[in-house]
Amino acid sequence: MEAGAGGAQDAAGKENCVLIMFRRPPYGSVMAVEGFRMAEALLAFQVPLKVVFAEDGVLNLLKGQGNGPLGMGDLGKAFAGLHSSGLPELLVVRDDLDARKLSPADLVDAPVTLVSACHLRKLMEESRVVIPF
Amino acid sequence: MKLHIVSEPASSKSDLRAAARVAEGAVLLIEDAVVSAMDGAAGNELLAGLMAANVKVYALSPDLDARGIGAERLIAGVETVDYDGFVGLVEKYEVVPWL
Amino acid sequence: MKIGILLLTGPYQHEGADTAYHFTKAALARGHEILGIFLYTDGVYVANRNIVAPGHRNIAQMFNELGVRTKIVACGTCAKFRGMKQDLLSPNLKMGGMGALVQMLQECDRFLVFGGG
Repeated sequence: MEAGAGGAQDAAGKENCVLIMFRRPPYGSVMAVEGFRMAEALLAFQVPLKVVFAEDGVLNLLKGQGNGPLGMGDLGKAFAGLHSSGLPELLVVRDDLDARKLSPADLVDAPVTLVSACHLRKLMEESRVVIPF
Repeated sequence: MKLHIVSEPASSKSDLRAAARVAEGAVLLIEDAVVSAMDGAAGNELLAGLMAANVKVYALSPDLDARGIGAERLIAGVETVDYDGFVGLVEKYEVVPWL
Repeated sequence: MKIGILLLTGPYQHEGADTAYHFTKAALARGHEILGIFLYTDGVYVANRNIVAPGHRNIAQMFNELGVRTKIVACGTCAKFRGMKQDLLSPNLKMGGMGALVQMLQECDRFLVFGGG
């Protein structure tokens, strides 16, 4: 369940990585969409990046979004597309999926890696920058 | 070890609960989150649990002052810092913002 | 230390803009370099020179003051989505793209995010 290889290390040997953490479900606030846009941009600039979905943020990856009259698009599909933009995997906190009675089978077709809350702490320790959305 | 900065109280989006799940080092309560440090407020148990695990808990004093919350109303163990102290904590720890 | 800041809230709606302002001043007073403040999502609204706040702190003026001491950049795309045109920006603030944020991320020792809701 180890997260994918990161980027360059700084003088202290610490991975020079940005961790973007999605904590909110999509559409109720602009945060998930704007976090996606930032992730996309950082990948384009080749900033070493990890992306994790926690708490209600796991809902961003549900299959089959975008139905009905609201016209807000399908963020799940968009996140899945980050793989072809160079993001090796989408990290998802297992406990938060379980708590919502979801399994990886409910999520979009993309390389998803489940992590424990303990591993979330480790991800934060390894990232100099953490940006929540 | 990181400085976990929490800006919303436990009663709303659970920023404090989410931070408490992973926090080591220190937690700084700012903005509305300072109310969680008031004796009797929702979030007291989370904060007590953090302190019992040797996580330092700080509250930003300008946010307490703005809300008329005197230091005597806070649960034991919470230290107050002003903005200069906030910067001092950022010197000491890398930051995880919870918002 | 080199510190980067991201602001995700507009003026008055949430305390985040005030916290970002006071933190920045305190950090500068302690001799740190604030690499910049990147205004993202509603954060771009603090750049609106037309803010009028009779009898209250004027957040646009507060950020404009800071704009001579650090680089404050409003995300161009976010500004577009909010109808914030270049000529609405306070004089010491700039419009910019993600490149400005990336530069901060690459150079910073610390990175803070303010806003919420």
